[in-house]
Amino acid sequence: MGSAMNARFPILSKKAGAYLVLIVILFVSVVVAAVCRWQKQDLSANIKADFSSAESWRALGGSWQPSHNEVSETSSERGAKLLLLLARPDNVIVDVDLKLQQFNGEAGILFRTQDEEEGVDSLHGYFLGVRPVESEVVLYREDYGRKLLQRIILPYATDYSKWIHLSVRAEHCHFISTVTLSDGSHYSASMDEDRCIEKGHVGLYSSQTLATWRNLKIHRAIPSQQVNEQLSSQSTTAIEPNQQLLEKRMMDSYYAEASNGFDSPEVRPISSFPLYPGEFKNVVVRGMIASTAPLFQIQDGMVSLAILNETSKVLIKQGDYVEARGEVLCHPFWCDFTHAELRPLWSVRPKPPFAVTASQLADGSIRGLSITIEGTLLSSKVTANGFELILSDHEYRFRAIGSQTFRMKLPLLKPGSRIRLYGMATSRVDYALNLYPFAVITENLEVISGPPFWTLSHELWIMFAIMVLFAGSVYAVHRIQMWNIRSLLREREEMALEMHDTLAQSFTGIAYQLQAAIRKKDDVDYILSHLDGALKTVKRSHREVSKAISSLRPQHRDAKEIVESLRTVAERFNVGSGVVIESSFQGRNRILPVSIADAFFRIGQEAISNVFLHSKCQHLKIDMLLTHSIARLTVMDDGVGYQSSEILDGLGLSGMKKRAAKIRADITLQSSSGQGTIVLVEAHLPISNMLQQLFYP
Amino acid sequence: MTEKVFRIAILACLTGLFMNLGCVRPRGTIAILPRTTGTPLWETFHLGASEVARLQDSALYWNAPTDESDIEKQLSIFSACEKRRMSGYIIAPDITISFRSPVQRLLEEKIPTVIVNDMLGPEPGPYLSYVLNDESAGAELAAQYVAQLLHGHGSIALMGQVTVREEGGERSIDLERILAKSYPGIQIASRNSDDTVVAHQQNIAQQILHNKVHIDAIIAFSSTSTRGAFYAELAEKSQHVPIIGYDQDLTLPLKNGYVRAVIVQDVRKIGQIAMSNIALELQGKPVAGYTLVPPMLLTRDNLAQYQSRYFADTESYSWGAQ
Repeated sequence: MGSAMNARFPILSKKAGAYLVLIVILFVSVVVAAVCRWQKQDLSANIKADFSSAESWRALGGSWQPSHNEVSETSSERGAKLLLLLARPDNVIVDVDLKLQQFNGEAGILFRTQDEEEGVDSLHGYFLGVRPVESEVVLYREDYGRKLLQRIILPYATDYSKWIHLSVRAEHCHFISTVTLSDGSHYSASMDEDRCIEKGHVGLYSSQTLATWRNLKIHRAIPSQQVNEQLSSQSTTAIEPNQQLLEKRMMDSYYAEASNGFDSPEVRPISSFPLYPGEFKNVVVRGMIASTAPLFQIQDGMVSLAILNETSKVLIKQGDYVEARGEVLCHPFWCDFTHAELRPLWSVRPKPPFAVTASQLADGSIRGLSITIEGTLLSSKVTANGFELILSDHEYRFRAIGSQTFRMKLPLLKPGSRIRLYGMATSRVDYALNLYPFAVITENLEVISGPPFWTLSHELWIMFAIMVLFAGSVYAVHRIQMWNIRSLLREREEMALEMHDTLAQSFTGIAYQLQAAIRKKDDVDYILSHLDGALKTVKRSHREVSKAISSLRPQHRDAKEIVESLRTVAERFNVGSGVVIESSFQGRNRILPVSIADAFFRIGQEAISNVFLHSKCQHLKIDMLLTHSIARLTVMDDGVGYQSSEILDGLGLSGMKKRAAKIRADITLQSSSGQGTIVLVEAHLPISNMLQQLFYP
Repeated sequence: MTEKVFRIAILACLTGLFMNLGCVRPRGTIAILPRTTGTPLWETFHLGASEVARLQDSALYWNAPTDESDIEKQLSIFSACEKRRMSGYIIAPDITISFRSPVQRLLEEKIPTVIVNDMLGPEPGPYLSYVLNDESAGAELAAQYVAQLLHGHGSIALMGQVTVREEGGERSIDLERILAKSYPGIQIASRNSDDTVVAHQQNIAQQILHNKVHIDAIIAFSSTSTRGAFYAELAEKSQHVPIIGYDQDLTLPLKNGYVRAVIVQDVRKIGQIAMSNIALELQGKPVAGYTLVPPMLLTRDNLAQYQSRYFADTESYSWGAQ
């Protein structure tokens, strides 16, 4: 017959452990889901691109001029890219209308792009586009280097200045390219690629040409068979390339480019115009466009002219080197070019702007040059043509105006931010409004630093946080003190109980014995008998008090030492008894927590005491097992054993149970008549103690 | 239970740590920063480097400004590469002196670096080597050709003299030295600097053609100035002044005689040697400090024979594995 108690002492209970595992699983699931979502943002719905929403797009090179459903690339830069950030679809159909304003270069759509950067071929993905000189539609795979996958030759008479429709269908590694010309004719081709890129962004691409796109639509792919049948029924017969004709077209394109740059002899420098009132007719100047709308300025060396009523036939952009013909009208301090006809000659990368301060601009010495200036943003607002900012720099306040592009995201500007503007300064009344010393016509801007942290609201929040922290600290200290006091009181209570159980009761017994001896003054034997009883009680009390004191000051926390101490205890009891005592220790020795060491020693002590007082055994075995997570103490004898649970309770089992319960340990007492007794106590060790085995020698 | 939780937590921490380490340091990637990309010259170079990288199982990062004069962009690409901790660099600086400090930093960190087609300044040594087009040989080819064309007597204009790189300067200095020594009957009538704007170079060429000083031939030291001279003749609707150009660009003007000859670089070989140098440096093996790769003079007569070598068909190459 045996009895068992379930009491454990893990660092986390089963329930808490389960919660922790659940939280970890949830966290990992969320992370995995987020990564998968990022990797494979598929189309939940068809997208019709809105080019006026700058937040949805990322421009890499080029100069992109958006409107609602149309966008133009006006720089002719090689490898200009505009990427839609909304989705990274895999199986997709992309449709767009496209027209080119120049005969050379190429333009089209990008799909399944990844790792995009500024640069000519700086992306992984696919490009489907038209090349007017070669009169073809090409499908390239781009991997920071391009591989031609497919080519469709178009009629050499195709007019690329009219809208043509480009479409690509990408389903797994199967691609179908289609082009529909302005006369309604269709050309298409399909192909399969091994190890294709399976997903990525959709975007626009142009190189060395001026192009406009409209009606960009992105759909989820539908079953391919239908599309193949549909396309094959509509496609016009493929055209064979004609090398001789191709070379002629290439020479024509070279000639067109060469004609554009033809020199004209009657050019005069801008600096030749005097800055006093006068009118000059039939003037030709050449210079770089330093700024465009709202204020066109042409710069030649360090001087510039404002161009009013500009009448160029093609789109002019900043950095274009142009020839301007018209009239120059000079006023005091400045001259204007009126009714100017501009002819772009070539484009150059604008020179880096001069870094100036507001005071330098305010004294009027720098005008018409590309500048960069810093200021602190006071306010910003969206206007019909773009945006208006009011900034300050030391004692100067000035105005900045510009149009929103894909590079400028006005909502990100916060008052108090330090802003760097790139553009051109003017004090003309229509820009400076007679309120500011100058206005900056802004081409680009960047936020150098956000608003200063030490604002009034932040200071108030920090004060509030400090107060909460202080209150929390006071409360925590109070709780710790209370916990300490409670511990002391509990300790005192235990000591009082211990003293009551030992000293008080012993004294009572001694007093009883002595009183009995006094009452029988004449009976010497009776007196001696009671004195002997009193003496025994004193001795026993002394032993118990010593035991209590030693338990209050535990000296053995090392697991092996506990076993040795218990063996010493047993040997003391064993004097003259002849019981064979064995002790053993299994596991890697280390220091146990105070509470566990104390409980094990006291339980072992009690068990050994019972063995010697009641078991009449021949052998006693004390065993300690220590793993990285549990400690187990076994006291075993081969004595008479016990059957009655009442007897067991009388043997101090209740005291042992209480001690085991305090450390949440399991205690088991197994005994039967003539079979000896086994007392087994097993405690779970906390994580801190598990880690100790790494460092304990 | 506690033990399992503990193990899971430790495993999660270690996994996260290694994942983060993997994100910031791609090992074994070689950065190649040419002057620009997407041109016949640099894509042929790219092909050579990629062929060797593929044999050695190295990863390449390839990028450059869209405009060859955009040194700020080239430096910003370099800075981005530095943050990604590349294993080696092959650089063709847009402006020689702008890259001295960055390369100095690489050498301090003992990162193998190869400078292509430019004499940066520092002597070659551990971790630094140069792979160069043999400009003296190119100048010799140009001088011989123009002397043959003009029968040893005439007046020529020089275009596209690069002032921001050692490479460009060497071309004109060597040519003038050889002409003065071997062909004194050929005079230099004008010298003109280079930029990356074709229309501007065309403008310069047209001014040369309109000049009162008679010109028998134009030697253009860059692909841009070569194209500018070709466009000038197209715009003038004349084809009477022979053009001798430099570097791979258009083949059609060479084929139809607008450009008489082009001294082309063996950039595929330059790319292969540069990549091999990096691989050897990474293995701790010695490499040649300077490697000179001879150029080739292409004319209408030998174009068909050498076109595939000097104007490689890069559009049929699978770049995906780089």
